Amino acid sequence: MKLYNLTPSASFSEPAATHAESGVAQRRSRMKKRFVATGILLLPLLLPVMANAANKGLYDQMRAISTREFLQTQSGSTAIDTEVQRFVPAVLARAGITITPEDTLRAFNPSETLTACQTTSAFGASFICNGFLQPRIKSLVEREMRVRLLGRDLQILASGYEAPVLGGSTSNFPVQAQAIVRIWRAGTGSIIAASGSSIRAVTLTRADVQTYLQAITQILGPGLRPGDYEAAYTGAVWQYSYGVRFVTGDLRPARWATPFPEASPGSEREQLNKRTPVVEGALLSFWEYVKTKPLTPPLRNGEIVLFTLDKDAKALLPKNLNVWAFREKTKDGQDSGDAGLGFDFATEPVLPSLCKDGVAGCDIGNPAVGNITTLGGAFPPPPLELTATGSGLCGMPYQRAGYLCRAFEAANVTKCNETLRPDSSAVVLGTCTGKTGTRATLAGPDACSDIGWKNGTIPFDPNTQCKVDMSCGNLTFSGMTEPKDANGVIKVTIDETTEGPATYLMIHELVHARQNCTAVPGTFVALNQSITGPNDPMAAMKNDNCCRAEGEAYRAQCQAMSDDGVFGPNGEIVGSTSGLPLNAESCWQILTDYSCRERTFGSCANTFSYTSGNPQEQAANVASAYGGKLKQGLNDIISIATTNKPASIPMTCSATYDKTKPEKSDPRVAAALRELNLLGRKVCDPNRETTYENTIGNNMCALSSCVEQTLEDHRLAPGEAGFTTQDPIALDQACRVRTAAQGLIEFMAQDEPIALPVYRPALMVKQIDTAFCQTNGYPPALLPIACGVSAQNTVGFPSLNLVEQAGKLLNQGESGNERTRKIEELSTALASRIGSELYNSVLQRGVDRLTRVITSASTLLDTFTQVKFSNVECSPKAFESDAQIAAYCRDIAPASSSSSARP
Amino acid sequence: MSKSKTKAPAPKRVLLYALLIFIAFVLALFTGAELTGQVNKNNLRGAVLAACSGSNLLFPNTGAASLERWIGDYRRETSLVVDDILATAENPTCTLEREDDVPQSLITLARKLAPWQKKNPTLSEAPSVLLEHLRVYECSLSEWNRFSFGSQVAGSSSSSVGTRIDTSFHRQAREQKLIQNELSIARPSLHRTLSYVGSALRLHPLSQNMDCLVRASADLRNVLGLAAETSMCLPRTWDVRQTLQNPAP
Repeated sequence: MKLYNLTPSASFSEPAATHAESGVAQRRSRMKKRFVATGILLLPLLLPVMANAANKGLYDQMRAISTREFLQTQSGSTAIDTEVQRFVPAVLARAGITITPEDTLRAFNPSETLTACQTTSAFGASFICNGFLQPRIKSLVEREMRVRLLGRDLQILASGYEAPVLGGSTSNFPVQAQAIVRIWRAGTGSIIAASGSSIRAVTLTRADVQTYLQAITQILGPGLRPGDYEAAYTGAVWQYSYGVRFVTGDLRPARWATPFPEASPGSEREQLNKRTPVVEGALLSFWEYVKTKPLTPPLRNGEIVLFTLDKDAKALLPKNLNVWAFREKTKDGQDSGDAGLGFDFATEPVLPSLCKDGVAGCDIGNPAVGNITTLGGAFPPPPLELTATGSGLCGMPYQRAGYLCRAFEAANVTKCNETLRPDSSAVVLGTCTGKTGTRATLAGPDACSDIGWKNGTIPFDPNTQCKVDMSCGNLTFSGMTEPKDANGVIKVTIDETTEGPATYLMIHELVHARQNCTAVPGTFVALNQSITGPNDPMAAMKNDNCCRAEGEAYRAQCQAMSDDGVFGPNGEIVGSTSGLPLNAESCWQILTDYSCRERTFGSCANTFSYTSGNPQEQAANVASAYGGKLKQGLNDIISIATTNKPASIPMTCSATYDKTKPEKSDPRVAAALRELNLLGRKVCDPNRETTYENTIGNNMCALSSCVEQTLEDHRLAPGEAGFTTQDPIALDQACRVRTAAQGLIEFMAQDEPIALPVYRPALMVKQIDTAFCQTNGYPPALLPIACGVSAQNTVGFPSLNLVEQAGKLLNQGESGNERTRKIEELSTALASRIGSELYNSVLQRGVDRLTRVITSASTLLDTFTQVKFSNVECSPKAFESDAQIAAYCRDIAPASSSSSARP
Repeated sequence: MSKSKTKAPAPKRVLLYALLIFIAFVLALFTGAELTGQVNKNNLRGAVLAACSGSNLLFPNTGAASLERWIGDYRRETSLVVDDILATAENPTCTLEREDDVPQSLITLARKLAPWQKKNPTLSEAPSVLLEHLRVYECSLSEWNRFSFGSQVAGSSSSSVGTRIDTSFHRQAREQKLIQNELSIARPSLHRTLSYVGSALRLHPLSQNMDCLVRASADLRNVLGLAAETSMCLPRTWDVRQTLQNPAP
């Protein structure tokens, strides 16, 4: 905050005060308040780039201000601001008294005389200059210095309050929040564009910037600031606190109004808006260096680089001074950035100049006869109607994302039910209760499918991927899956009037499509070569291929039927006309056996026995196989499926599937189609290289994708692939028992809703009591009633000078007033702290939640290291005998708890 | 009649006053140092409701140059604690087993003050510690102002009483100016510092946690990066039909 419109209280005798027209005083007062408020809102403050700046000398700075309060230097000699020294003679000149600026210092020393004092007064110089004038000069000086002290105190309050919000020496809150978001977020594309720019930091060493910083130090050193509080120095730092390019207009967008209120040279606000060419030159040189500094990796669109100084580089600058810079590439690819100055602790405001800089005289206005001039500066013109977005604040990398710089009428407002409008009397942060889209996936969790978390996209490769083109048609058989063509397309055709519900047939054919999806074009697993005859040396292999390929497809098909309750509500064995015990298990075995026999690949092994006929019968005629029971079993399955299917399952193909709206199909069919389109394009496919920004979210996306791919594409054993996620993956799944080796499920406690913090008025009163006692110089635990201001304090510090002691006794009321004022100031700070504690506790809960998430994640990751993998090899054969499975189930019975056997 | 008996003649009254001043002077001459020492020896007496007295721990009386040293010590110590508090806020220690990250300089200072003799201060007590430090400083200056004159006269090596008194008066005048200066400036300086620090650190607990969360998040990110890298092998680990190694591209 710049406190630049503190109007001087020039009121020595009659002259200066007469120029203040009382009729407009009230309006001006309102104007002043408004202007100050505008100044507070604009917050032209420190950029938090130099967050690690040395925090040295805050107390010394405050001490220097306090010595000024008592008109002293650190060494104890009298000190008066240069502006006041020049202003007082100008005020006296209107009363016909001539003194020099140095005479204001002499007025505070009783042993010195006002050597240059002259007057045209009728009382004569001997009376005016000797004795009469000195106390009045002292009074005028003290009054002006008190106003300036008030400015400094207000600046301290404002800077202290703003420091943790803006970042800087005492808090990196904006940086921390940004860092946490950046580390945790998922997504590198559209998400960033929606939520803001990406920011990184580059540290500059002493060797990097020595030339530039030394130039700045030389200019801002003794040459520009002969004293610690020289207005030119303070003004220059504030002037370039938003950046040198902002001041020169290079960086200002055309839509922005000029950010600086009118201030002609010689006005009281001259130093506030005075441009300093030498400082600008040094800063522009520094900016040129920053602008051309090579960056690795190069800046991407929408990325910002903050340049920070290391400790050695910072040491090149004067105490409490900072130099900052940032560079960015805008979202449309334009290079931008700026460099500027700032304070570590912004304790000194830009105070009124009072008199023209470097020119004799202090009158502001039209000096012609009959016109009004004002000593010490005119009231400022009405403030420009600057919106926050037109200020330098909104050009800063962090601050421009704040609510002051946020456009209320943004595009997103159309999604919200509320209409957001700025309110001059309140801070409107806004709410949005509009509906956001929800996404339900079918093929499992589909991790991060709606987030662009990977860099780049994977092009379609017909050799490793496929596109399934499923349609309904008129066939002489139920369904057909063709080999993958050169374009990677696999055509699947379902007979419109197939026997049984078309849904189950689609599931069957899509398993075949999946078997061929990742193979090279022309491949058709298992069924593209028939057995040439009894002596075909590949007969066994071809039989095995058919049994496995068809087994997978029929298994998925019969599992779906079982899930739908075709075989009874609990999947139990149901009776049939063939006398075969039908359930999901016997279903897929019968259908597989039938299918392979029909295609002359021979029979497939079964895990159950036909009650009549020879189980080893190899009859070519499927109608007579097992005494005709195979054909009967097939018909039974079709009949049962037709009869027992849920009412929601249609019979015909066209009623089941609409090519233009595949997502409207049976969820299992839709999931399979979606899954097929992802095959070969997954993160964890062989030879797949995936790059992404290293964030927790993106790492979780990669991890989840691989786990999901494991669940969806696993091949635990031939013929045992699940059709959809969560399907059983092994024949013996039901006989498995949970063992300790299978791990535990991690639970995270549900958080309670955030509530308002407890309001403890008694605690606040106690804190104020303590502050009250300590302000009055008593121990913190003393009873408050004993902490009142004691008139004897003055006596308590007796002076050996009796006259001075008497004066102190007379002025002890002033001492009490001073303490009252201190308590008022302290109460403000105390209230700020108490208020902060209230919302701090709310924010703290959010932090606590994040802490719990990190703790849980840590526990989870720790358990990863404790997973025990099986040392039992999976059986490579799809069909195992009853005896094998029985033995397997026996092996993993409860007694064998040390291993989960099959993974 | 009674008036004339109770009111001494003017010359006698002057003599009486002179006698009283002389007695007070002699008492101060011979008891000043002892009084000061007595207070300092018991500087921690009455721990909570301590009287306004100096502290031998913080501002020991080491002779004539004590005052200048006290002033320098107070400024350095206060500045150090303020700087350390700000530095702690900027760079917290995340691995502490306690909640508060209190700078050592604050603990050291507080331990020398009566209310914190038996316990360490919390960071939120820093303003109280600094104000109590200031109070003891002011009391030490006040005490020096009261008793140093007698001590100096008594401790002077000069044989002439007149010279001793004259030298002590000059020193007293110079020291009094320093004391008045300090009593005027020290308190408003600390108030301004606390106003700034109190506001600037109001989000300190949150900021400290955030800082530690940033570091923990970075650790978590790196571990998850390793887990993600490892997970790339999962599908092939589960697929018995293909090799674990990448086929040739």
